[in-house]
Amino acid sequence: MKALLLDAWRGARSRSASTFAAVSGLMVAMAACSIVALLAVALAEPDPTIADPERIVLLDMKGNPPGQPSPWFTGSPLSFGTMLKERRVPLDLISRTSANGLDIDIEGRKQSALLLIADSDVVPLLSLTSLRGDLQSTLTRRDAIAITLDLMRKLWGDISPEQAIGRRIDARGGVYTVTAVIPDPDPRTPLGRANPMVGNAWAMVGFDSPANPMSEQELAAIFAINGRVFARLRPESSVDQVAGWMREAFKANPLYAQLPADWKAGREAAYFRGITLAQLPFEGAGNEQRWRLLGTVAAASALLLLMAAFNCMNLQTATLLQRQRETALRRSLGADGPQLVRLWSLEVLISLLLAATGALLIAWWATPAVATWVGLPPEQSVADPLPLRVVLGLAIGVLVLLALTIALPASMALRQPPAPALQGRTASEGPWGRRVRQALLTVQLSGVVLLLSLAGVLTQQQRYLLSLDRGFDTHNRLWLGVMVDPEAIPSMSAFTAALDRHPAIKSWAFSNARPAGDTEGPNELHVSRSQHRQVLRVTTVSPGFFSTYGMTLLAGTPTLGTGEAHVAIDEKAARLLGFSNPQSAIGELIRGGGGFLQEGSDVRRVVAVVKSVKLESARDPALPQAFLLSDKPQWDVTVHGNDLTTLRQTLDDLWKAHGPRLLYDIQSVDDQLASVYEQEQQLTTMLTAVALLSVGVAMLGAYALIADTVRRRRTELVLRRLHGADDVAIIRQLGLEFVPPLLVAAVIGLPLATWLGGRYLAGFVDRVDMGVGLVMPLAIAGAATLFVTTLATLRHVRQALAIQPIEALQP
Amino acid sequence: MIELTQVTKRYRTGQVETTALDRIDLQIEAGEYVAITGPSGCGKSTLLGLLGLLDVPTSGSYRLQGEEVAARSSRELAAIRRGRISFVFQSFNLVDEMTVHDNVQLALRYGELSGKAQRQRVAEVLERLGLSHRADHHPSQLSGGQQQRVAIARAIASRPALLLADEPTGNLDSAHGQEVMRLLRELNDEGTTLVMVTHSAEHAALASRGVRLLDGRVLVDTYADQL
Ligand SMILES: Nc1ncnc2c1ncn2[C@@H]1O[C@H](COP(=O)(O)OP(=O)(O)OP(=O)(O)O)[C@@H](O)[C@H]1O
Ligand SMILES: [Mg+2]
Repeated sequence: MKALLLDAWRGARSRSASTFAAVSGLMVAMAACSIVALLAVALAEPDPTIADPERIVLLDMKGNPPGQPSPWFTGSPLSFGTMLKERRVPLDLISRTSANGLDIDIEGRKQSALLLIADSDVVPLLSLTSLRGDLQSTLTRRDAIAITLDLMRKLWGDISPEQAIGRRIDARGGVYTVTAVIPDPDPRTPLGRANPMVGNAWAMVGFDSPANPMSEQELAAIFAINGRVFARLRPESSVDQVAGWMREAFKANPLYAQLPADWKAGREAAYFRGITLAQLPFEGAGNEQRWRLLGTVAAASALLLLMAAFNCMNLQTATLLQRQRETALRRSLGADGPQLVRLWSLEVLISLLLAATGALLIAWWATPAVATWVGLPPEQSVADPLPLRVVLGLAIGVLVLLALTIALPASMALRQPPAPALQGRTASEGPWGRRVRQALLTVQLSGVVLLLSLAGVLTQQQRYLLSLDRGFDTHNRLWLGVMVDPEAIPSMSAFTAALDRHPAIKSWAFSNARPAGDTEGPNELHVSRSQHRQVLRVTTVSPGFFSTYGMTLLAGTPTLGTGEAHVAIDEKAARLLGFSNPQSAIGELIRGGGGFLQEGSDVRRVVAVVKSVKLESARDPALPQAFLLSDKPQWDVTVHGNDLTTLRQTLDDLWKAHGPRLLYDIQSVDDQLASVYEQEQQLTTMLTAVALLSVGVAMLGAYALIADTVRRRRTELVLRRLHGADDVAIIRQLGLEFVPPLLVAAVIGLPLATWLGGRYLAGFVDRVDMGVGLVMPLAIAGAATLFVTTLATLRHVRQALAIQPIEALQP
Repeated sequence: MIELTQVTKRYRTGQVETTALDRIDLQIEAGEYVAITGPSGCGKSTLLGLLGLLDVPTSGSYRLQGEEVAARSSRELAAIRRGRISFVFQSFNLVDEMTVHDNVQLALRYGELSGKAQRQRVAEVLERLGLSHRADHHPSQLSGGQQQRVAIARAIASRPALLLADEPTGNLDSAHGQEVMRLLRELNDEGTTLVMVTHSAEHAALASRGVRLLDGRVLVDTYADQL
């Protein structure tokens, strides 16, 4: 064994340059795959503090009113918890949870926290622990509250949990006594997720607590997703039964009869299911999009790995052919097929293991940064220690690659009888080996064309998304948002007066949504005098909103009404409400204030019409907009100035000096816009990175092919020179090797890229022009592939041109 | 036809300078059959390379058919060489990946002949060398003697005025060697000027003139009829 190892090591070392090139390509590809795998493992992981997540179910519902089916919510009406308990289904510890906000008054300021309202059974169910005090009994007491370590510190600074017990908290509904201090939640907890401004500042109370703002009616509702219900499956029951139990409870509820008849006639008004906590990381709109992103990058990385594996295969074929004499000698000395295969496998294995080790190191080093960048919480460890699953996966990958790399060349080498090689005749591999090499390069070049094209398409679309004219301006605007109960926003008059006075601020406005960032908002049915019925998206804004966001006023002026509600609508809304032109809408009354389906009774006077604006993301069509005018303070303040740096400083200073003491955050409106397309940006960046790596890998492939060509065809080139071939003729000869791979790569890669790129673009309502967004990236990708192939072959082409005919005389 | 005056060829590898040819004077008339002999390393192949315009002398003059060619660029040399000078080598220098036919045609690829004319010419020479039935074989499927005959076919396909052979029988057994020598004799009889390097005194004796080199210098230059 030792002799075999030494033999193999010597073999691998003697071809160090080419081995190194192939191994580094493979290492990079393996690293990319490992990083994706590590991210996948981290994303798939349920909250590790919860015991037995496969047996704990979450009730899930999906609304299905006619014409507007919703996605799965990974949540349900809380009433299902009560109903399933009453119906005695085989579930234990059924517990409802609901998240809310809580503003705590402390020392003249407000501390915002996430308020988790939960049944006490959730404590044993989700293995919740406390650092001090008893959480379960806290949830049964009306005057008690549990707080996290983080909230404790934000309230009282550096005290111990021991000292926090018994302290009082003044918030909605009264004064509460801290009876438990719990650890900060795991980022993967199924209980909820707080706004980054709140972070881990959580509080917990039971449903009977006066801090719970939900009414009896809300708790009993059967068609409002207002929380999550968890339960443990009894040993004899399975998760698939949950849907049936929920459906039966839903239909047996008296409220079901009150649902509109057309929701129920011959159809289901809603769908139900149970999902286990182990399954939860894969469910929900956000998770699904994340997995789609990861899936795309995984596919690209797998392609990269395949391309890199081809380089190894290529190298191995060339090497074994070069070593015909050595092989023949070993065979004449009595080595049999299996022994030779073992030697070659070991040589390859050394390279593969080197690559795998390097890949793991890269992954271990780079994954935490990548994980943070894709939005995983930094405190979640993704690569330290490396999960066994990933290491095992890589090991299996190495074995598969080994088989793939060695099978073809070894069978070719073993088929050669040893005698001719020993007589000094080295058989060429024939046209066959060359075809294989060309085919491998073809796949590599196809990969490059495909990945480069897609990266180009995504980049173009991304640029388009960020520069898209949505009817308002985002540059040189800052947003200041506060964390507070929207029902209880304190006065901000001192602050707004300071804004009015300050010369750096050109204009400012309140709004209850961020036009660049909030792509979804409340919709209300509106009815005009001409009985046109139209759902409008409604945003409440102050009159300065339109000038602050640079919107174009087409008619009227946004003014506040006295004794009547004033509204500004956009051109699209005006048209859909039956007004022939913007001017004719001015002064008209429209009725709204109901819901999405029900008519309301609030009468609103249209005082202004603005050019159509799009607040929705580019994935969705633009909704007609209504802006309710109000001078009441709102969550969101936007300011417009000339220079972002001074503007940020000014805003911060003014808020600190004149604003109420609330948690707040300042962001540029451009950043808000970018955050809407963050996932797309991440996909674009990752795909571009993989595409660039694939260029490197394919260049190695092209390099190998030309090196092999020049070596193999040296005699021929010498003879061509001897018979008068000029440089052009030599270059043409070498170029001919690359024409088929390049052509076939274009034929495979470009249509595939067109199809995939088209599919990606089809996911958007607003998409970049086909010429700029699809044709141009494809053309550039094709040209770039040609260019890098040329670049990779340059050295050997020059070598071939330097071949002198006199070589023919040298034996 | 050939006139070498004071031709010197030096090679420099690193610090070492080798004088492969040292002030050689040599004239060869059209139609001659010259055998070059000498111990290994005396400069035979170097001389052949110079004669065949594969290399240029370090100093001295080389007039080929009255034209000075000593200081030409490799491109010009290739143009002069094309169709006029051919080679036969000890190691055959056949291209494994190409058929016998294509190997021979290679010599015509960069000349003036049309594709059809090329194929016709190849057929002619293969016929002449008795290789017609091997046209579609690959060199590795032939015996050494057959391979050398293919090389000769390639060398004469362009109907060169000057044929240079570097130990054409070096890798062949005596029977096959004899056959090759007979072929060369025939070609010379038809008017091709022949310069052949050989180690075999027996084969050298078949030439009409013998040039013996030693350490890059001409030691003896004798004509067969003087013997
Ligand atoms: N390209 C080169 N670079 C350096 N030295 C060379 C080169 N070619 C030949 N020589 C040297 O020039 C001398 C003559 O070499 P040449 O090949 O002409 O000998 P030869 O007579 O053909 O020998 P042989 O009978 O072994 O073929 C030798 O000393 C050789 O080492
Ligand atoms: Mg020699």
